Amino acid sequence: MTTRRRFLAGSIGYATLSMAASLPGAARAQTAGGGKPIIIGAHGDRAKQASYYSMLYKDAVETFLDELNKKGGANGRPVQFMFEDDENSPVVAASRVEKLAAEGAFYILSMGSSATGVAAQAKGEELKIPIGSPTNTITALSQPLRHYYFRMSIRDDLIAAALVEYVKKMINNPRVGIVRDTTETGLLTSDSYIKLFKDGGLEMVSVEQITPGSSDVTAQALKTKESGANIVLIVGGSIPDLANYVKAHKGIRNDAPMIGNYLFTTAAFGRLTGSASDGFLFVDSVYPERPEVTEIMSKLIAAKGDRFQNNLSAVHAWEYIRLVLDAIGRAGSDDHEAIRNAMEKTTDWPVAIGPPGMKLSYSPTNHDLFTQPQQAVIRAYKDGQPGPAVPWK
Amino acid sequence: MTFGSIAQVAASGLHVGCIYALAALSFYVIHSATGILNFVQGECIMVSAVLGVVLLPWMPYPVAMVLSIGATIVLSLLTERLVIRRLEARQADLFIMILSLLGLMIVVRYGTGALFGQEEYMLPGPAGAGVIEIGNSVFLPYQVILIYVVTALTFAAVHVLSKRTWLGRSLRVAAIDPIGATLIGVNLVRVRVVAFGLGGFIAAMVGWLYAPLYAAGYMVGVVPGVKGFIVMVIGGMASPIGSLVGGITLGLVEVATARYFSSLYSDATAFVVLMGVLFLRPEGLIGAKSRA
Repeated sequence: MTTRRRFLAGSIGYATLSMAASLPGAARAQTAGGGKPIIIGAHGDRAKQASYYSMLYKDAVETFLDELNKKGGANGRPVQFMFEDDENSPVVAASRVEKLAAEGAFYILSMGSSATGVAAQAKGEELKIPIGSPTNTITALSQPLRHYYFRMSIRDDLIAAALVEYVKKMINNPRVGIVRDTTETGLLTSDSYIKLFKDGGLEMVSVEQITPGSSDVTAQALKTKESGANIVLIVGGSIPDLANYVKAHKGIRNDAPMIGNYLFTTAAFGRLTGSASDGFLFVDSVYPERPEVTEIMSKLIAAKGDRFQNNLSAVHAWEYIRLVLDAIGRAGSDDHEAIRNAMEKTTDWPVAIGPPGMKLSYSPTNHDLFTQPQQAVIRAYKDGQPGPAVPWK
Repeated sequence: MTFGSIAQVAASGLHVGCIYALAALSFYVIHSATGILNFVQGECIMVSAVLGVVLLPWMPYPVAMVLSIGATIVLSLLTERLVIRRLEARQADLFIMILSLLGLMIVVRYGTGALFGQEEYMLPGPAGAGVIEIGNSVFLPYQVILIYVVTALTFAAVHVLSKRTWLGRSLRVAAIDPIGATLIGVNLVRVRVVAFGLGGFIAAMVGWLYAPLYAAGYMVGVVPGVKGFIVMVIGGMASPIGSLVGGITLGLVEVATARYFSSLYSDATAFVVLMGVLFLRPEGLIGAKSRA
């Protein structure tokens, strides 16, 4: 009996502590000025495969709000941040959007994988609540245009178009081999890239798939080499699997250059590949040398530590919450429709994403920051680190 | 299909198979002595690798290795002490035990993610980063050669332990007839502690063999855990040789499928092989006959 009582008391204590710890937004909001709080909701993956970037974006948003609330909040109002774990599941993500909307969120940030983003976007549209993602790339999120969805990242079709253009300038008669992992992202994006590359006039010579968790992918690397591919596109969502291919590719002395999308901005990729990733070209959406980017990254590293080092995609989360709060201020109302309209009317808004001087303009026919492939930033790995922007040839 | 490509498939398949075989052996030593399928074995592999990454910056390589392996053995022993023994004392149903172990597996996996972060890190291999190249098509990293050697030594040691020592015979007798074993003086608690300790030790070694060729992070125990379990079933639960034969068979089939058929189907081959073996030889490739 005593044990049971102690267990019960312990459980209540633990639950209380857990609840206190899980409400960072509420705690932060109290340090800001008076007024009714602005409630920002977010869903993302707290512990599964997408968590390494979800938690990065969550920390970036919290750091931004910490700084803002300490200075008195947004237009004198405290900002409360509510984060919900979507467990990297589209079904759960949709239910979290419903929950956040019911709890009074003004705007919802979709900070999980592209697959959860699609489900969240559909739910947001159904509930007529403005929603958007700082980093999701899947084209269908904003093409065709979704009334309540706003995007700050570069879409897959633009990434593919940028790669096609760059590859054509880099190599005569390019023959592309694709290597993908078995994640949902890997399967979805590789199919879309194959179509977009073919439409762009590139010859596709092989598709290889990495056995998940395998410590040896030499077979795939040798087959890719034998296919005659003179450039290899790597796509997917599992960094260890993709990094393993890159090591095998270099290990068997395949000189064909490797290219990828901005998944490869993740710091773990450089750590796992070391010098094997040298020369790996990838499309990014953040220009590392921009002073605004350097400033944001310094703040994030100072507040949250070295795990932000080289993780430039966190700049998206920082800039997205800045934009949303600006739009809420411009809306002059807490009404979802008014906030949506203010987002849509954003014009020539200076943003730290994209090449220097880039400005964000949404319109009734466009809810994307990036509209041209040439706005993409091409970068190359050097000494196991993502290097500076490479000029378009 | 050249000699070079066949040799590379053999080398790669053997390497992948050795990892699977050792993971299966860590399941086997616990199951053979206690009848318990410890689903936490995959997480023991992961914990060993993650602790290696955490400890290495602070101490010499051998010390970090010994400490991480020791901590993993402790985790395995705690599983026995805090979960299995308590549930058995309450005569819990088998399903309750399986559910508890699955729950513990999730707690260890995501708890590690919460404590040490969700990103993956490189664990330097004990054998270094060199590669032996034979011709233009056979590439053998030093770490892979170490995997071959450790696998051979581990299986030989487990064989000797189970056939030639009193402890090994106690482990086998306890699994076959626990009451009879008690009557002839076998201490069942001690047997179980030894089995979990040995299972934890083998899993921890797998962490140091596998992670340097893949990655160290909170999710890296999933694949060796699942494949280890499949291999134990494919090989048969009657002897450790089943784990070795099952592991190498699966490794070779996976790699050969990727090389000569299509890599799009190599992952599915594990389950096709499992279904085929269960259908044709439910007792596994090395079944009960070899035990007699």
